[in-house]
Amino acid sequence: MSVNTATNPNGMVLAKSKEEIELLHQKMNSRAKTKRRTKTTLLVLGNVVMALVILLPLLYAISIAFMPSSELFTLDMNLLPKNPTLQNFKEALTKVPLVRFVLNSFLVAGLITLGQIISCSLAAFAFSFLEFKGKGILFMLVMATMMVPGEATIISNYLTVSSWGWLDSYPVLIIPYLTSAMGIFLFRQFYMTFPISLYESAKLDGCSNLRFIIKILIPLTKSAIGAMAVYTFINAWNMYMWPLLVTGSSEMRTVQIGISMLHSVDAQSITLMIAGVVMIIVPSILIFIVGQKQLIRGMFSGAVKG
Amino acid sequence: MSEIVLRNVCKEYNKGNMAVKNFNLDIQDKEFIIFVGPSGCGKSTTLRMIAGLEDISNGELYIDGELVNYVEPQGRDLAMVFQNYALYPHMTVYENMAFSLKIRKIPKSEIKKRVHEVAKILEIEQLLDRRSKDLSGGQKQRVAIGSAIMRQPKAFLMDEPLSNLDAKLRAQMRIELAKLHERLETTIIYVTHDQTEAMTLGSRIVVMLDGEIQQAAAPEILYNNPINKFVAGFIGSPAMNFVRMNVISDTSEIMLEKEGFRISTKNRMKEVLISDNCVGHEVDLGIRPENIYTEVGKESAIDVDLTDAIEVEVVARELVGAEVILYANWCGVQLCARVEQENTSREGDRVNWYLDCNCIKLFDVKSEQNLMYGE
Ligand SMILES: Nc1ncnc2c1ncn2[C@@H]1O[C@H](COP(=O)(O)OP(=O)(O)OP(=O)(O)O)[C@@H](O)[C@H]1O
Ligand SMILES: [Mg+2]
Repeated sequence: MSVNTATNPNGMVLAKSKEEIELLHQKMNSRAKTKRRTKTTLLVLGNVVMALVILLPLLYAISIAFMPSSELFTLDMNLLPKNPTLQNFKEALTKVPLVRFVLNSFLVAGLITLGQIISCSLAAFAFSFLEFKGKGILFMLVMATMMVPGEATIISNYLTVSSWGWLDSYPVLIIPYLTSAMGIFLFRQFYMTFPISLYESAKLDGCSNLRFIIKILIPLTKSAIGAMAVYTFINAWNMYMWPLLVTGSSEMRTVQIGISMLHSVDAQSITLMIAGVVMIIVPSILIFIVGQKQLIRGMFSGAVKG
Repeated sequence: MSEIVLRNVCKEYNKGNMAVKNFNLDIQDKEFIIFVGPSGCGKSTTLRMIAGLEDISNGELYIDGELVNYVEPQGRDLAMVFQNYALYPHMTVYENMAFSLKIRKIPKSEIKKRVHEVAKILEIEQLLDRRSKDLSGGQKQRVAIGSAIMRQPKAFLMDEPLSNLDAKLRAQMRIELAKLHERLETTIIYVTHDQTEAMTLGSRIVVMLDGEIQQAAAPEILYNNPINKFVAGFIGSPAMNFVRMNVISDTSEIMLEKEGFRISTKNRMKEVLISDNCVGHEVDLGIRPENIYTEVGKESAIDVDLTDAIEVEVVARELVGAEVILYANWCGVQLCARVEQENTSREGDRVNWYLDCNCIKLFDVKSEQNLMYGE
């Protein structure tokens, strides 16, 4: 029988046969396994409970969307529809031009996103790579506008665009939001971590600024752009005050306004409205699912130097 | 053809804080110029001003006779190799190297030919399809140099390009750089901390201190005829030994004296001491470690003229390959000698050392100028 000898730090000699060591391995391994399993189970349980609590309103909304309105207003506890129906969805789609609203929202949010990405990244490029007089002060100025709440300027903005006769059109929904101080700030933070020597090297190679942006900066900051895009799109999709103020006709309404129209059509039909809400949440959620990795990576890669 | 001339170039980052002062240098075509100096002396700043990455606060920079102070980096046609490589991480090695040519709208087939040519010289052909971020430090360095030599620029600027490599690779790249310089026949301006790089590569070395040029000359001139104590101490490794000596006159002789040890001076040394009115004052004697001998009669060179013995106490012994560096204490001054490996002196030994009179340098105590400069 082969004897495996090892000396422990105290100088004691541990003599163990092969079988004994095998047994020891098994024992320790099974103990570690149980420990690991309990830990995972507890973690999963905890997460499921948390998720349920957080998602409850959403799940309940989905459930309501499938209920006939008679079922909602009872004293019984009914979390799930007893007679599920698609009637609410049908009605919501016929009572108001919901598809049109969704398309409007997509158009507006999409163009705003595109515009902000382009304008913010270019502005941030100037603030982080170029040297010019008054750069610091100008950047401060841009940042200062972040301190002014949107509600404070909304009336004067309204007066301005209405004096130009822009009301109730796509441009009025899009143009005021084509840039944002927040976007410039986020992009600049991201560019600060970009190695400046790449820019200098490109310059010496004879590269123009525009070419540098297209060929080098954009490919290397894709995740920041992705994060910005998701963030901006969701913000634009959820805009409420401004579209409410500047659009009058139902052709120009975005979904957020359109949904509230469902409410006014028939005060009783909360189920109808919820069905509409559920339908319009879908695009936001889809975008988030697609872009969440980018969002998280982009949001943090600027903050944590790796 | 590229002649780079700097006239009174200054750089002032913050008011009153000069990073580079009155920098005057004429760089001829095909020279290999090395900037050396302690950290923070303005080497990188000067290089970046030549490249156009920093504005020149004062003075003029001419490239091929043209004033380029206000020309953008893109317009100067120089190539720079950065210390941290500055490769575009999302591109392959091929794309990295082709980048500068693509900008210049050179036909694809021509680019391909050039890339392969350069890759062959630098032995990176098998890496052409790899992402540049996946390369090792040495490979990145080659690619960076490759990208720089792709478009034959007027001059290369290199800021400590080898400092991130290990000793062996550095030695190898050094040889390759020397070969490359011969082959490309272009001006190279090179910043380094490394003595060996400076001494072996440079056709001219510019020693800087606190933003000012101390001396700009060929390596052997810097070594044999340093203009002041700083250059003498900076060039050469281990550094030159300095000993403060009294200058005394005894009958008709002028002697250097310290604690009873005397060196009688002759010829030029004597003349200089008399003409500079040093008699009765102090001077700093400088002697390189390789000019100190531990035995009489073993000197290899012919024109060695040894002094009397000084008795020193060895305090440390360092084995450096084929040689031994001995550190010793002599009347409170630390001396360092470079001797052969056979030497058996150990720590604590009291031994006799001899200085080679012909290699002694004398420096003014106050101005630190080399009194014997310009032989
Ligand atoms: N952007 C800057 N703003 C202010 N001061 C600077 C700037 N860049 C460099 N300096 C200062 O200028 C001086 C010269 O710097 P430089 O980088 O040229 O030194 P160096 O000789 O290259 O040093 P090293 O060998 O450490 O690279 C230093 O004192 C440094 O602090
Ligand atoms: Mg430097």
